[in-house]
This record gives sequence, C-alpha cells and structure tokens, in this order.
Amino acid sequence: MVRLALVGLVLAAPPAGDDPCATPRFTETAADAGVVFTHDPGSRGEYHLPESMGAGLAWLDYDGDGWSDLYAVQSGPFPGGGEPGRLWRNLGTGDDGRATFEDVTERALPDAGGYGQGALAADLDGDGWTDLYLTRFGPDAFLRNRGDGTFEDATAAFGLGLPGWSSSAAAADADGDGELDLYVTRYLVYDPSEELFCGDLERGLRRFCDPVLFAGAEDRFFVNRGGRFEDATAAAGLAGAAGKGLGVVFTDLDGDRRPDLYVANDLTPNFLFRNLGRRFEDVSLFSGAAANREGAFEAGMGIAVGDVDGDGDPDLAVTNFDVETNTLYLNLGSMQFEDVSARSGFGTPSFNLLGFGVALADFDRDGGLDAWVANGHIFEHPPRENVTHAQRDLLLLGDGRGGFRERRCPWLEERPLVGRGLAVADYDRDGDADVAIVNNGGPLQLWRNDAEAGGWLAVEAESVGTTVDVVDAGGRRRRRWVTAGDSYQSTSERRPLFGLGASSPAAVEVAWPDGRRTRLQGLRPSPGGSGDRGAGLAMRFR
Amino acid sequence: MYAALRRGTIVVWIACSAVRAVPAQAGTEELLARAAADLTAGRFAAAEIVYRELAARQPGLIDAHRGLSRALAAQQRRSEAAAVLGGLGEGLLGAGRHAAAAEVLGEAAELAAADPRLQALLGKARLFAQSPQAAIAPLERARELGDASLLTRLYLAAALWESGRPEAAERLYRELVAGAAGPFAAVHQLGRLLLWQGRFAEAAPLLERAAAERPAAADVRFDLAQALAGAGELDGALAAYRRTVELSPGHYKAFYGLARVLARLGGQDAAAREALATYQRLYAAEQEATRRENLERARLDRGWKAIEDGAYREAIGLFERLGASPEALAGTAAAWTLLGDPARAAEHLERAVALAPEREDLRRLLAEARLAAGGDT
Repeated sequence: MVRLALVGLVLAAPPAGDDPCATPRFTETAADAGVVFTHDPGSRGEYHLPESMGAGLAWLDYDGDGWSDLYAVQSGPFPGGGEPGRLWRNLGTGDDGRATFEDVTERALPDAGGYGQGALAADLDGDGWTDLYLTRFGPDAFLRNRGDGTFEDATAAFGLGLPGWSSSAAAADADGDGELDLYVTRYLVYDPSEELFCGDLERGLRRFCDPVLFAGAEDRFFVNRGGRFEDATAAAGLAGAAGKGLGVVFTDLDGDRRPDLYVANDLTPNFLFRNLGRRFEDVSLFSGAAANREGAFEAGMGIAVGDVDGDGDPDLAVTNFDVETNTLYLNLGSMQFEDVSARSGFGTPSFNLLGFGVALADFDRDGGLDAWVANGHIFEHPPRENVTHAQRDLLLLGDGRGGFRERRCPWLEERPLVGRGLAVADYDRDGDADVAIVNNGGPLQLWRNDAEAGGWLAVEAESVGTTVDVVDAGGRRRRRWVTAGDSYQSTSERRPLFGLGASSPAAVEVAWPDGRRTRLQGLRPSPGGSGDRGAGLAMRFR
Repeated sequence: MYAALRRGTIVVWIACSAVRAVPAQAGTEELLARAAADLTAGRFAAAEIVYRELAARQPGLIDAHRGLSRALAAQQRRSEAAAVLGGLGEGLLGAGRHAAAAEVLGEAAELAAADPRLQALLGKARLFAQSPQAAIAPLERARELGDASLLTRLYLAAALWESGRPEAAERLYRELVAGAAGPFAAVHQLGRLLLWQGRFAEAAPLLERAAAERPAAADVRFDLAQALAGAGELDGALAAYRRTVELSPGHYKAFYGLARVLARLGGQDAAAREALATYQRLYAAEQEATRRENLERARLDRGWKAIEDGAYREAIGLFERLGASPEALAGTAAAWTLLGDPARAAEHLERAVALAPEREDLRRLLAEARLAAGGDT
C-alpha cells in the first residue's frame, strides 16, 4: 500500500533558555503511560550467552488507528522461553496531552512463546496490517496481524520458523516485485550443553564466554512469494554470510532505488551487500564500512541509518564494545564509506561504554540528526575498572554537518541500566521523537520527549523503501528513508519526522518504492489535523 | 597437596601460566596455620620466623609474605613490612599478575605512604590491572613525593587518557615532548592520542618524529600511516603502510589500510584487491588461533571449576573428554589426587610428561605424586 499523509507541520516555537538540558528534555514515563514490563533474561547461573544479549522492541500501529503501539520482546527462562512478549495499544492523548497505553497481550497475541531476541514490525503478508516477525534462540515466529486486533501464529503457514539463534531482522522489497522480503541476521552456533567455564577462576568471577569461541551462524534471506517465504539465501548470492550478525538495516545506500543490506557483525567484518536487482554483491571490504579506520573488525551490535551530514545520502552508525568506540561511517557515494568516528565526535564519548540499540533522530528539532545509544555491558564485572555493567545512555546532538557533541544531563544518568533494544516513535504525536528501550533484566523505559524549540514536520509515508525530502526556502534538502528493522533487534516507527529549526519548508517530495513521485508545495500550518497537538496540516493520499 | 587450588591463598608462580594446580610443598598449610595462630596470639617474633622460612622457600606464596609483613608491622617495623610487600608486589607485576600486585602494593603503600617508589609501583599495577581511574592518585602522589621519572609521568598520562580525561593526558604529554629532544615514548603516545581524537594533521608530524627515531618499529610506522591517511596525504600514507608490511608481514591492519589508500588513489584495483585478500587471510588465521586457544582454556577451566566445587569425579569426566593434552592430563591427575589416589594421578602425569617433557612443572608434580603413592621419585 502506498499512503502519504502530511500529518503535522508546526513552525518554530521559541527556543528554551540557557539550560543546556532543557532541549531536548526527556522524561521517563513508562509507568505513568501504563507500559510496565521487566525483561527476564532467564539467568540461572550457568552464564549462557543468549542471557547476555537482552531483547528488542517494535513500534507498530497494529490496529490502524494512527497511533503507534508498542511490542516488547520477552526472553527467559532459558532456553525455552515463556510468554510471547507484551503488546500495548496506544490509547492516544488525553486532555493533558499525555498518551497512555493499554496492555492487550492476552487478547491480541497467540500463545507462541519462545526465548525472544528481536522484533520486526512490517506488513509481510501485504494485507495492509502490520505483522510481527520475532527472532529467537530457538525457532523464530511469525505473528500475522488478522486486522481485527489480534495476531495468529502463522509461522509454518508462511514457511518461516528458522531454527537456531537469530538476532535482528529487516524487511524491504529487495527484488522489486512489490512484496516485502526478509533478511534475518544470525548470531552464533551455540550449544547450551557445551561444558565451558569462562571468567577468572582466581578471583572466582564467572563471565559469559567470548563470542570468539563459537562459529558464526549463517544469515538468511527470504523472498516473499505472494505470502509464502522462500529461503533465497544462496540464490541471491548471500550464501556463507556467517558473520555473527547482530544488527541489520535494509536501505538504498547508493541511490539506485534498490534497498542494499548492511549488517553489523560481532568481531568479524560488517557486511555490505549491494543490491543488483535479483542478486546481491558483497562489497563489504572495499566499501570501508566493514572495519574501523584502523582495519579492526569491531563488536558490531546495532545500526542506525540517516543523513548526518546533510549531503543527501544515508550514513551508517554502528554501536560497538567499550574501548572500541561506536563508529560513524560517512557515505562518500559509490558505495564508499569513511570512518569518521573520531573527528566527528561520534565515537570518543563511547570509550567506556558498550553500545547496543541506536537511533538517529532529530531529538532537538534543530534540523540535524542526533543520536541516542542504549548502553550496558555484557559482563556483570567488566575487566576494566571504570566500566560498569549498568551504564548511562549516550545522547549525542548533531550539528547537521556530521559533527556530534555529547549532551550529559542528570535526567539521563540518574538510573543506569543494561540497555539493549531501542526504538523511536513520536508516540504522543507532538512532533518530537520519543524513545523506548528494553533493558536486559531490567524495566522497559519510555522516554517522552518534551521538545519545545524548533518547528517540525511529520510525513506519514509508511511504505518501506520510500524516501521523503523536505526542501526549505533556500533549497536545502533533508532526506529520510523509510525502513523496517534497525537499531538492535528492534523496529522504529516509520513515519519520517523532520525538525525544522527556524526554517520554513517550501516543499515535500516523496519517492515511492514503485517509482512514482509526489511533490507537495505551498505548505502552511493550519489548525487541527490528525489529532496532532498545535497547528498542523493534514494531507493523505492513497 | 592439591589444596593449593584455592588460588589467591596459595599460589606458586608457575601455576598462573601453566598448570592450574601446582602443589605447595608438603607441610605448607600446616606451617601457615601455625604462623597465623602465633600472629593471633601475639607471638609476633615466632610468626615472623615461620613466615620468613615459608617466603624463602616459596617466593610466590602470597600468604607467607603477607603474614611476614603483618608480623613485622606488629613489631613496629613498618618500613621492613612495606618492603616485604613491595618486593612481592613487584614480583607479581613482573609475572603479569596485575590485580594481585595492585592489592599487595596497596597494602604496602599504606604501610609506607611517603615512599614514592611504592606509590609509583601501585599506580603502575592499577593501570595494568585495567583500573586507570584508581591509578591516578598514587601516580600523582609519587610525583608530589619527588618522583620525577619519565615512566611515572607516562603512566600517569596513560591513566588519565584511559579514564576518560584525554585533555589532561595531552597536557602531560606536551610537557614531556617540549623541545626537540622529547623522549620517544612521549612523542609516540601524544601522536597516538591525537590520532585517536581524529586530529590527523596534528598527529602526523609527531608520528613522523617517532618513526624517524624508531625506523624499525612497525606499529609506529602504522600509526603514522593512519595519521597521513586521515589527513588526506595519500602518497605518504601509502609509503608508510608499505613500510609497515615490510617490517611486519603479518600486520593485517596495515594491509587493510594499504588497500583503502590504493582504492582512494584510484586506478590500482588489482593491488587493492590483493592487499585486501592478504588482510582477510591473515585476519582469519589470527581469529582461528584465538578461537582455539580460548575454547581450550574455557573447557579446561570448566574442569578446574568442578575441582574447586569439590566435584572431583565430574572434573575427571570433563578433563577426559578433552583428550590427551598435558593440561587435561594434569587436571585429571589433580582430581585423582584429591580423591586420594596418587597412583592414578602419577599415571596421568607420566602421560603428561611424555607429551611435554620440557615442562618442569609437570615433572615436579609427577615426582610428588610418585612420592605420595609410595613409589620412587
């Protein structure tokens, strides 16, 4: 389905005062919003590696009411798992402008539990309703949205149910036939019965074993054949991609309108597969995005994609282990990337942090993409003294030209947790990006963004593979790519949201996956519009 | 004799690097217990004699040195007490047991807080034990107490950098490199710090200087190549990468850098692909070696953990499943000894010694096992 709705256009509000922590300003509001969830890694003292990996989450509008609902993955007990995660329906905002949620798990989800890892929300069967593909340690699951507020376990019917250990998944129409195809990253070949002890015997400290001990499991690519999925890994030229994958994004990196694949691998080369139409070409090493500047393969965890330097092409942000620092690869064009982590300011603040989930969004609505990284160590007792298990998250404000500066604020640091999956959505539709995080063995956090400064513009263009450009009066162009699946084992809301700063947009241009283009001009804010607060302009195309 | 497994309580030097269980000499535990009783009862001189004897017999026996130090301190001989621990700490540091060294040197530094050498050693041990934040205070204290050595300042700068204070580290490095005759290590480290921060153009001249001083050092040349590549000086970077792989043909990261620069220069696709292929081959080989080593260690440690838990028969099963490596056989021998069957222990140790005749530690264990079994050593 191709759908466009320009659901919000608000021009600049007055900037906040001198308090650097005022904008963006987030408030943790999970309990108040009715989203109460504690992730269970299922640890029983045996230190099985899956217990350290945490879980993801997905924003999806499962009931089609225009408000983003939330699904969180549950894991333990290990290895069989328990409940099939939890689903909350977004009830919209009340008089106070605050959105609340209702836990609809029992009535909406089938009894299809497993040891959960990640969640991809996408309309995989093409019926207009967003489904859930769940990655697991154990067979993956496909929960089909029946369109009546409930899901059914359709794993077998759709030819899915991959055994082994899957982590992240992403969807895009890779072969251009109008249906969403599926890529699933796989982590390790891990046998829980293997008798190992990892850690420091002398100090009596047991730890999770290093992934370097285990072979990587091969990623899988499924082609959608009218509602049934066919394993096309080899046919698409992707055989042997066993890189210990943890993060994946499917987006057009070279501007040819075909979604390419980028996979963050743990201590092996990150994959970059160029989409040639029906096949992929492995350009990983030559692209410069497989390793860091030094040539080291880092412990890739999560991925975010966005145009951080405003040159119109998507750049790649990857989270890594402590000491390695997170990595920012600038897109130089022609499938060439340059690691600019150090000089951009993106990498160095993460030196003592271990990053997992990551998102690029304009949190402060100044026009430049910012970054939020969910951090938390694998080890309960990390070997380095000034590295902790529970960690603060990282908020990096971007200048729109590729530079980042860390914003450290008390509200972000008062309760360190073991962050894993992270996904963004403007769940209260107030024109700023909110953040949800699943913490390993900890509570789900829902960070409400109360940005005051800067105008904003939201474009509902939910077709995966769409690009949306906002062009300001001076001709400056900002672009967003609509993807399904990113960060770490998670899915963010697909509605592109632009911060405008003090600028006025002159036009919105949308390039649909089927090649059609839409251009909207003469944009003016007007009252009302799709339930948004403040002034807005609502336009909807089908 | 395998009660020595309680590492941290009784450890013989060789135990850390080779076999996980090495017996203390006969009677060690009894002597330690007797000395501890003397200490508790206030018979400090008597305790001193026993601990001194034990420490002389086994220079790596931490409890003996600690006990001796306590006995001396109780007799108001604090500087002697500190010296005992200082010597032990230095030995542990030299043996790569950084965390244990930091602990012992911390006690020594408390006994002699005005000793700059002990403070500097403590700072070094903490830095090496991956506790850079905790290393800063003793290193700064050593400087306040008059330690003007280059090494102490370098350690301090490293501790500042690693604890997330690169600006302070840079200031210190700059003090050291001021003037044309700045020491190599400081010049190199300052260059690396700037490189890490993405300040390539500033890093390059420092790394040029370091490379000129150590022309055969591959890692220095590699750092220079990185800085030049980052600064866009591709011809210089190409030369530096090529020199790096000449100096160190297994330097896989340099092959990667070489490939990237060749690709950026254009027109040299074949050379770039060849460099990438070498990079992949070298990297894969290193990864596989690391994987095997770590996997074997984790499997062995599972057996040792079972021994620590008193599950000796389970340990035997775990070690036996690992096949006939010297380490696995020694583990099996340890379990049989603890089950009271030194003859079977000796049998396994004989096989271990046959596989690794150069291993002095195994031969000693075998001799002790034979003795315990009533046989000929």
